[in-house]
Amino acid sequence: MSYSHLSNTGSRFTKEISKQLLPRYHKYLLKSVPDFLRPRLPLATKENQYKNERDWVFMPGDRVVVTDGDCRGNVCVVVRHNKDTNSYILNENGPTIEAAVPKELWVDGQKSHVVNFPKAVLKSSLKLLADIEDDKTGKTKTVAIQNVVFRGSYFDKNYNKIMPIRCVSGQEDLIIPWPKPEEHEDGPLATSQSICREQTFWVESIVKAPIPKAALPSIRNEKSKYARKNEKLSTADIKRLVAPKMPLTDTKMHFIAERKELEETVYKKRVLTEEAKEKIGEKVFEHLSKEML
Amino acid sequence: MFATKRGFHTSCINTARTHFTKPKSKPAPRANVRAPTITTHHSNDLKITAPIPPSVSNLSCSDDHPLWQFFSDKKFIRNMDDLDNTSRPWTIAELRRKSFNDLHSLWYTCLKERNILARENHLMKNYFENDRDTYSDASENVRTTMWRIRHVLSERQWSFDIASAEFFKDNTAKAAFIKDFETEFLSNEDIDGSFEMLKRFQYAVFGISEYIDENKVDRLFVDGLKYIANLKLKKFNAGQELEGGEITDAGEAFAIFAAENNEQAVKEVVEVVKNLRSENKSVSRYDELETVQAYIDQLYGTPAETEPKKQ
Repeated sequence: MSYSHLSNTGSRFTKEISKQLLPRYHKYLLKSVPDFLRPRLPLATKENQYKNERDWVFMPGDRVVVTDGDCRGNVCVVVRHNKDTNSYILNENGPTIEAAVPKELWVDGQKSHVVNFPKAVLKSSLKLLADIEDDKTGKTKTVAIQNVVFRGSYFDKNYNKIMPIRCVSGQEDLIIPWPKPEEHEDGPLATSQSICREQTFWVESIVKAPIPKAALPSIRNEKSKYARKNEKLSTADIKRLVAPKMPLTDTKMHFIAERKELEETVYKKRVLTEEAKEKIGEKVFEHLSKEML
Repeated sequence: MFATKRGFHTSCINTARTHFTKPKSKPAPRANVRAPTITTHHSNDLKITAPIPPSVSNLSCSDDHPLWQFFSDKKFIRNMDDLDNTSRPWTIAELRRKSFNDLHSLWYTCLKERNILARENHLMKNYFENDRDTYSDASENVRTTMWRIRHVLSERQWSFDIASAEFFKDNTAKAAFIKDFETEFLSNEDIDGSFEMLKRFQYAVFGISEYIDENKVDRLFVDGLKYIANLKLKKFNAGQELEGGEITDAGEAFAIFAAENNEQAVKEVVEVVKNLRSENKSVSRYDELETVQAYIDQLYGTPAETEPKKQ
């Protein structure tokens, strides 16, 4: 019986290790997974996985054309994203692989061991398709878009969130709308919109605390060393935070001594002594008396 | 010396102590033996019955057993497709709109769900020996809502602490606010509307709830009581009849505070206050809290712990 899933202790350490062991892990993963389930593309690390629409560019429901491989030129529809490999699963027009499936995993109506599976496709081998109206003929035609750029954002009702505006690179007035996502029912834990939006908290008093006093320790750690009340640093903290002064190296000390010597001898600033001042005065007086008289 | 007893020549030997003492003879059976007070099972009471075959039907569990709260719909484990994979956690902005009670109940709803998911995750990892993190991922989603609830409450407390510290720092902000309110309250000709305003104001500045028995009587409460009594007098121009024109006594203040919000009721109470003053009855400043508490208890039916002290 393992209870390791109950705690996060040491997870940082295991993550570090797993980074080093990742290639070996992948090797064994490939060995242990049956052929038809094996990912054909390299797995993306968590940091490199696509996270939003800007990363994905094509959403499920988008029409695309395959630009390389056996199915080059086929027009397909994106069925879903494959998050593990940053790739797209296309419909039946897209590339497929044949794989043998053991009899235990056969689905109803299956007659052969060999089954066609959709093959995941990378973003680089897809181009987005859009219908545009031809200026000359006035007919709509389907074009493949070389490149897509995102300009600004808007609230999309279908996705129920802020989405970037997808435009054609080089002709940004051409906006390609996002496909309508597949509708799904709310999950069992979902809260209805009206209940969620209803406001029940109002600031009512400056003397009555909004939270019962007894509840405070369970809301925040009163003794936390990160709390704002400890913003003032004690001398001990400052001592701990400020790095000690490094002792000078021999070379540096030698350099300083040399410099000092030079300053005393060569670079020494000349100071006017009283004697010199008197001498100058005499000279000036001599000169002036000669000129004036 | 000890008295010699006559006896057989063997009696001395019989009574002598030896290494192997003779066992004493059994005492004669007693006639009045008490029946045992505690009766337990003895081996001769037990009867061997047929073994009970282990089966589910032998087990019974009531529907309201508290441990059912660790199960979803009394299922051993939910199907992965039945989990909520589409919902998102509550955002901080959404939670900021919710009252403490709402957040409190949402917290416990989340906690219950996490308990169920933790149980299922444990089964997944140990009973089914599957390494998939579907249940823990769902749990992580719920956890996000939970830390956000704590964040929002903490933030609320901080803003309250900072605002009240600022408000009461040198009392200028408080005085200015009260003055503003006073002019607005006195100039408002709509009596009901202005007293609605006063209700909110007394809770905001003095913490006096409109449900009077919910209040805790402290210095702030009594100060608020006096202020509101004076305000009421000003509103109905009833203060001139009183000596000094102002209420400083807690007993008098309570009487005016508790009076109905109309001119006649307030003027009646002013008469009562005049009588009290003529009888030289007043509440000492040191007894104000206890006295007001006793008045509230008397008025609203809660048993008084201390009798009101009247001088």
